[in-house]
Amino acid sequence: MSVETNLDGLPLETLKQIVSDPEQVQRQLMAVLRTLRSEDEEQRAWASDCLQQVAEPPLEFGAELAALCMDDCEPLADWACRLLGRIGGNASPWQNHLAEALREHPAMVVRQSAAAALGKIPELSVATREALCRAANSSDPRLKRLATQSLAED
Amino acid sequence: MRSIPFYPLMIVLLIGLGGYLGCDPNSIAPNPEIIGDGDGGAQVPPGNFASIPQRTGTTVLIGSFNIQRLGPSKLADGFVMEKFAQIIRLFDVIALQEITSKDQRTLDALVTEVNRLGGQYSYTISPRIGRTGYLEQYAFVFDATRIAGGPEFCYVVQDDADVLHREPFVGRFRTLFPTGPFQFSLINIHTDPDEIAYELDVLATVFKNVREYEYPEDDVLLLGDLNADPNKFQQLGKIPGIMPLIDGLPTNTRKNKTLDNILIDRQMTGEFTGRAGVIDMESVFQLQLNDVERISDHLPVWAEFTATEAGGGITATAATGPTIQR
Repeated sequence: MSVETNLDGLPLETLKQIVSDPEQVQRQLMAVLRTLRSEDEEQRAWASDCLQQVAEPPLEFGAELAALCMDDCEPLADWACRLLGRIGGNASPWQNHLAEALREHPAMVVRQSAAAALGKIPELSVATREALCRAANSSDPRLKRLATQSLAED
Repeated sequence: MRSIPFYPLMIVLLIGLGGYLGCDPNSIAPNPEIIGDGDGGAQVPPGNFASIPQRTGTTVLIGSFNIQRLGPSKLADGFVMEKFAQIIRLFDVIALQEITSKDQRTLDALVTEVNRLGGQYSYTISPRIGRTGYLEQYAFVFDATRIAGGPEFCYVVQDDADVLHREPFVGRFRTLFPTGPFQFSLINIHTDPDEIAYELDVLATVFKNVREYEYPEDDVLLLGDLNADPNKFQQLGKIPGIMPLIDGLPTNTRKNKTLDNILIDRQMTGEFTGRAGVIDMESVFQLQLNDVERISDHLPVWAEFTATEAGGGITATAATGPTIQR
């Protein structure tokens, strides 16, 4: 499932200009995210650097981020999960999106990021906890560690 | 290939052909004719570098620099490449982080720029490392007229349990001074800010295990972009004798965070002269912040060592803390 595939990301020069300014990145958050669809690895790297500056995305982006957690673009889904986790407790309404990514995303790195993000959301639902419990038995050591950690934090 | 115990299992992967199976830096003989005062006979680069120690016949300067996304666009930016070259030429060995270019000729182009004024720098570069979206490479660039090193003396710490985002790149080096060598191993690391607390604890194990692997080498330095102030080093900061040489000084271009560092075991590395610091690129290049940010969002860090083995222990000066300079 791809969302907003018709929308372009940001050019490299713009990414370089805003990378040191978290407020600017936050204002263009979704455009920066879409840049991760680029085939240019350098552009993706700078977009990731921009996203790294966002300590806590505004709640208004929650639904859009949640919709991207199952995106088939791996870096995009990965960052959507991570940013949703940075919203913290207020991301609770979208925990089912993270749980779905944890259970079903084909990319292990996305499942790992979903597991980590769920650790930042208090009061997980039974279904989410079940997904984390299954992940805690994964043969992937990082997924296992992150899921176990998130269960312990709940 | 040898194995070392790790967290829970990490083995050392040699990327060179010689590795520790036959080639050794000790087998590289010094050439007294090319040991100079550290400028390799080339022109001294322009800039106000007075605050940074000159490399001499008795000291070596080791550094670390996160060069922020060295890729095609920076490679094409003559201004940035020139500044990178000027920085690198200050050092005997410098650990670089964040080479993100897919094109494996990128670092070669940078070192060519370094040598354009007559230097004889060489380099070793790691494989591409990372998890998703983009990958990074570490490198060591060194003045081959003063330092012996090479890919056969470098390896990546293999991380089967995937506990680190970017596994460290280790290199062994040796000074080529007629007065006797200083041999040392460098652990080049770029941590993941998202998992910094966890990774710093893991790095404590990495440091101890690399030191065990490198034994009898006792001079093991961990350097790079740690993404953490020394007061947040957790287990890494609790290793007996460990000493961050950059403390209380910002290492980012905006000068509000200490992210980069050089760590030594002060009981082992008596070669540390007590001088370490950060290169303020705004000051040395007389640039405005926005131009410095074209170069990198990090500042280079440095530490000075004697060029010959000093044995264990440390001078009284260093035991009470380095004289941090800028």
